[in-house]
Amino acid sequence: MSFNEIVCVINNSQLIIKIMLDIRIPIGLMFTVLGVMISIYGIITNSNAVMYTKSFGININIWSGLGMLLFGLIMLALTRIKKKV
Amino acid sequence: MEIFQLAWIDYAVMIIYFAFVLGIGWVLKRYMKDASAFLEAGRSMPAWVAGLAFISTNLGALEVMGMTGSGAKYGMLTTHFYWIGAIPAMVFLALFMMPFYYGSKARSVPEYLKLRFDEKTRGLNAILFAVMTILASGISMYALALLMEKVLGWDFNVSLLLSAAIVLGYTYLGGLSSAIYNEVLQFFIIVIGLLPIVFLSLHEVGGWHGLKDGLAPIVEAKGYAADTFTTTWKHTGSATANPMGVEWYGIFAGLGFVLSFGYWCTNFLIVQRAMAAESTTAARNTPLIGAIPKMFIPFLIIVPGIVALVLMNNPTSGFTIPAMANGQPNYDLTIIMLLKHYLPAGVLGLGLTALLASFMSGMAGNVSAFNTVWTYDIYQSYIRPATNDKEADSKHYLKVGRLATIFGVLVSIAAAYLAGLFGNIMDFLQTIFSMINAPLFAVIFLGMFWKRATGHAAFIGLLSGFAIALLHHGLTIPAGATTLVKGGWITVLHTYPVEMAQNFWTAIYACAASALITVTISLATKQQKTDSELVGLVYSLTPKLKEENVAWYNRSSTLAIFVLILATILTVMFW
Repeated sequence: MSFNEIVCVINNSQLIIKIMLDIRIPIGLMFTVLGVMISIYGIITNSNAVMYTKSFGININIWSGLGMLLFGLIMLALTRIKKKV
Repeated sequence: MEIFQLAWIDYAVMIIYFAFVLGIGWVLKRYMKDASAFLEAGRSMPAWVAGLAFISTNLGALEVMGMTGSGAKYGMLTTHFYWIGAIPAMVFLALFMMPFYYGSKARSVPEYLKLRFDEKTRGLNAILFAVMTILASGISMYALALLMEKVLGWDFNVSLLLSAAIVLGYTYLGGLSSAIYNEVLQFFIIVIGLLPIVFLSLHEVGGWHGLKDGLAPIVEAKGYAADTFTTTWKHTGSATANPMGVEWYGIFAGLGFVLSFGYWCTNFLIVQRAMAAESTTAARNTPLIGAIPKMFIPFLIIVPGIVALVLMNNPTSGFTIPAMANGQPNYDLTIIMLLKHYLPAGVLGLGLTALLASFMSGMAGNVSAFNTVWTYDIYQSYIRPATNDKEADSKHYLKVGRLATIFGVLVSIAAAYLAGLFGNIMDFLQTIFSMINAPLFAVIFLGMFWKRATGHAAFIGLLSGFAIALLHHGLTIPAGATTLVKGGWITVLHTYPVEMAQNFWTAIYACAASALITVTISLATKQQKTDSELVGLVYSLTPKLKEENVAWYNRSSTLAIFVLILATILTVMFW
């Protein structure tokens, strides 16, 4: 989706309503956003060894973030397969 | 004690979550054109949405915190609340009760009582339910604000009013649909938010086998067999061999039958989710779809609790649980301390959001059940009955439903402050209200499966079952109880080893007494309803549901068999 298309969607509140009525879309959108946010945060803080001693040196932010992103995208993809709410 | 120092990313996660929560309410607002859309979600939910909401309503924060704590106290025995204490009742509700709740077109459980029995039975149930629900909502609001004050260092009043405002916001805008959609969202955020803890805690103790080895000396020191905390039925031969203090037949009859059937099959808060489903098949499948994640929730919340027990006993782990005034660890804080122990900024925000979300959806669930019962079963029945103008009526009841939402939230806030002032009284009231369900199950069960059960019998059955429960509570006491709230306020005839055993037996006596009295009075009174009035309400008078036109994998019978096999496999694996 290009930037212009996104602006177009946002301007069209009827369309937003139609999208949000399928619960898979808000779920998918939310986890995609959170997933991207937390994985980027994980990448930025990756050099901070002290922060990740709690999680035994595992960068739990990157792993959780990627997991959420994947889940969010699967939810969004599911809306394409079966049109019904 | 401020437990957490949050980073900006943690706040950002919370803000995004609540933006979506309110956004869903805002979007649904323009579909709330009549009372049915607002109070019954227009009976339009697909089975999987209703099913996840069904289980999510039960997965409140008090459940998450309590069950993790129970994991540390009782180990895998806690799974009895799931595999025997929920699944059979959910399957029974789906197969045998949903066709009548849904097929009768009743809009609430009290309304089913009105259709099946009479007005007074409905009135009694509706009023008790309305009071109980608002009280429960207030107590969970109080617990949330207290937690935010202690754990995050936020102001108690601000926390209370802010959470009330968010709940009011999305239930006022989108009604039951909004509550259900947000419950689905909450389900996923709880699972995803707590998974890192499951993973990291098992990693620390070296997996399931490491956990067993680590537990053995701790459990033996408590005086139990080494594997008591990692098995479910093995050590239930006698009450003294396991930390729960109950034998297998107490678990089977008390938890597996009376308490769980009373809770899952009659509690309108839960049943309302299935009533919002789009078709009879969807309504029957709702509890069955909910049962599948329900079975696996123990691995999400109980297993980390068991790990916490090992960590507490290992001084090098640096893990502690704050003590209560009496010196005992405050097990309710187990999950909070696990969040602190394992999660760095980022996923920490996610875990805390999951907890906040479960508190709020619990309140929203209560408020949305309250406004339905208030509008249909109290206001429409006793204050302003329906007129001939259906359209104007629907608009009017929509307005009343909306006002009831505001009223419900306001009373919840008042109840929350009362809970802070008189904690003991609130505990006591909750105990009293928990006595309603067991007799209610006996009455509804007889009503559905015995066409001879009469209205007078149902009313007296409900009241007397409740009276017996009160009497039993007044005459018995759990060992070590110090306040009259726990029982024994008449005189002490019997002492139970633990509070749970007392609760089980209260429910068993109440249910049995209520059933016996309902049957006796039914036989002595005349049935006021004709057979044709009872079609769709009673099993023997209702045409059998046919499933031939439903694909085999969508049939309730197929799903039910699948659920039962899965539950059996889990039980055997952790026997």
